[in-house]
Amino acid sequence: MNERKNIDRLFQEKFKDFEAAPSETVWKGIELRLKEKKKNRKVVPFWLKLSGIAAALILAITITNGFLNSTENTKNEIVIEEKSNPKQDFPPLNEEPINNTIASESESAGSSKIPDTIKESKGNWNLTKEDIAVSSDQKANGNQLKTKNIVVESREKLDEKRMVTTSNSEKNTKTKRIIPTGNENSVIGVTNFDTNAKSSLENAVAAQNSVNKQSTLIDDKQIPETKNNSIQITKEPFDSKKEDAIKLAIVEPNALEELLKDKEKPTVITNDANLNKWQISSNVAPIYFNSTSKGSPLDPQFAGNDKEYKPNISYGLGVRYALNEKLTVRAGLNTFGLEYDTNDVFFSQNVNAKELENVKTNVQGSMLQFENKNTGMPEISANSHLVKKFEGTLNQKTNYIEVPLELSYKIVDRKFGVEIIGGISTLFLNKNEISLVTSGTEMEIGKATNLNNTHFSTNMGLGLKYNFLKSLQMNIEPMFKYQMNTFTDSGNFKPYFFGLYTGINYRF
Amino acid sequence: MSLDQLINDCKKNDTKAQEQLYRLYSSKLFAVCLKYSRNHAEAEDNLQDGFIIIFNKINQYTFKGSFEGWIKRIMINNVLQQYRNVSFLELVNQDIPDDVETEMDDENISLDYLLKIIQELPDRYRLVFNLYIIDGYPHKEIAEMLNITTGTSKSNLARARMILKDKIEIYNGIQKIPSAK
Repeated sequence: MNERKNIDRLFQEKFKDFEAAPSETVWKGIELRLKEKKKNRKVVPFWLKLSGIAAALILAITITNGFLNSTENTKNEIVIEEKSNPKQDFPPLNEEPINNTIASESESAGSSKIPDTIKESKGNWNLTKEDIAVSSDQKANGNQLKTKNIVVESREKLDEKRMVTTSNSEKNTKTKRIIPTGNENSVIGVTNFDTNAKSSLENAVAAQNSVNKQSTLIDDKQIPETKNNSIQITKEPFDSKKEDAIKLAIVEPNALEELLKDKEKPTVITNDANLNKWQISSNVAPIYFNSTSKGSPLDPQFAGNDKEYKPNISYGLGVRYALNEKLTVRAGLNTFGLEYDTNDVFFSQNVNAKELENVKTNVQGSMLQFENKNTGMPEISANSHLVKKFEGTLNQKTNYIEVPLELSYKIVDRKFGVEIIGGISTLFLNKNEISLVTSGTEMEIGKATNLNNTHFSTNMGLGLKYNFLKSLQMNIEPMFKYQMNTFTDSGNFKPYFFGLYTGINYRF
Repeated sequence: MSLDQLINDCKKNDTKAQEQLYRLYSSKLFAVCLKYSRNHAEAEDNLQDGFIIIFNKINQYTFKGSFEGWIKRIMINNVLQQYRNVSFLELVNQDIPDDVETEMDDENISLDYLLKIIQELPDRYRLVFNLYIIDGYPHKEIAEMLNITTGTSKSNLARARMILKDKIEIYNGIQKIPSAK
């Protein structure tokens, strides 16, 4: 006993005020290491940011330049193509109607047969006997219709213009109008109305003006009136050269020419559209980060802890290509950070600290033991001043470089536009840091081990845009991005983030 | 400048303040390192590492409790960390040996010698001895810190004592003729 006490006391007393001066090299070493740390901290993030933005810019410019060159080529091709088409495809004008007339003429004199021509133009009106009479009289009178132009008359009072459209003229305004003249003695002329052919309009007007006259003339020539009722046949063949000659049935030269024009127009339009297909965009977005379920990727014991998610800012550049009027495909490069705090954490110094499940600690961190304040046992220790537990917060920061690939569909496309956006992003982990925050100060304690270096998110959102110049457009796009496979083992933590992407697009 | 002010400056990574803090405490903490380390050189390394940790962790100090106690604890923890991974043969015999009563003439023993024999102790014994005798940790806590059982801690301490005692006797033997009892 004495022995023990002797030794104990011996050492205690001898070392009570023991102090020793270390060599100066110790301090030199400390100084050096502190300096390096400070330098590293400042330099790296600055350069990373700068190079990231520069790389994105270069990428965007190269892509757009590359595609700009190729669109010019395609533009030329389209022009050539279109022009080569029109003249070949259309059947010669004269055949069919003439066939019909011939047919009709060749039909028997019997009045029972309704000539094809009349049949075809029947449309909505009823043919009366007199109609038939007309045709037979036509023949009787030996009036030949030498041209494709046929005049059809009808006694019916037509209250309104009837439009008979050819199958070819769905898109455009190629219609045949049958003008009611409301007069027994009148001749109804079938006119071809083209909005683009002025002369036909004039004729139509002329025709309408002569409603009460006995003859309606499409051409300038008057049809001589006869006392007899129905038969009025123009002796003069209508000028087939004119674009707005009266026709029946099928395809008119005018129509053909109109179709030609229409075909040419689209080529012009598409050429312009090619120039407009490409846009570059830049965006800045505040990001709100959260999780759809409780859980903690750091350690299961923190699953129920309060988590505070910090807002962050994302910057990026993008490129958009319009596939058609409504659909646009877009790609880009963004960089952003996500950050959140786990509250109610107790930490204490412990050489044999139990490690957190998904955290690889650095030297400082390995000596700290973290517990959940809410479930941890209250520490009762005889020497409680030695096992002091402090309260703090665990902060997890992750930075990502995001490459989104999305499709947008325009709902409204005017000066103000609205579109729906959907797509996916590939995210590359750029920074991974876990820190302990206490009393307003922060210390890094390690990294997370359960973060995937590459993961994906599914994105959806709405785009609101305002074109304030022809080539410049401003966007506000709220987007919701749900993270998939962020963690190798997420501990039931399902993060998503919502960003309000605002930016400016430039259209070429 | 008060200590608190100095500490606050260190929290802001002020280089001057950090140096001043070092100058203030390096002697005391080096003494601690000497006792816990195997030799002078290792003690210096441990001192350096320890201070780096102190400067990194200084933001965690919330002015509750003694600052000196806080930094000393960090220093000790660091040293324990250094020797933590060293495998140590567990001695099967857990009996606590009886102390043999011998007279100890301890007045003239030089501190240097005591330090030397402490450093010569096997790592675990040295750590336990320091923690218990010199720094006053209870066995329970020592067990936690070193990841051993309380019993092991106690027996380690007993063995440390024995070894030290023997060495002191040698010292005394050289210096003096032990008086037989």
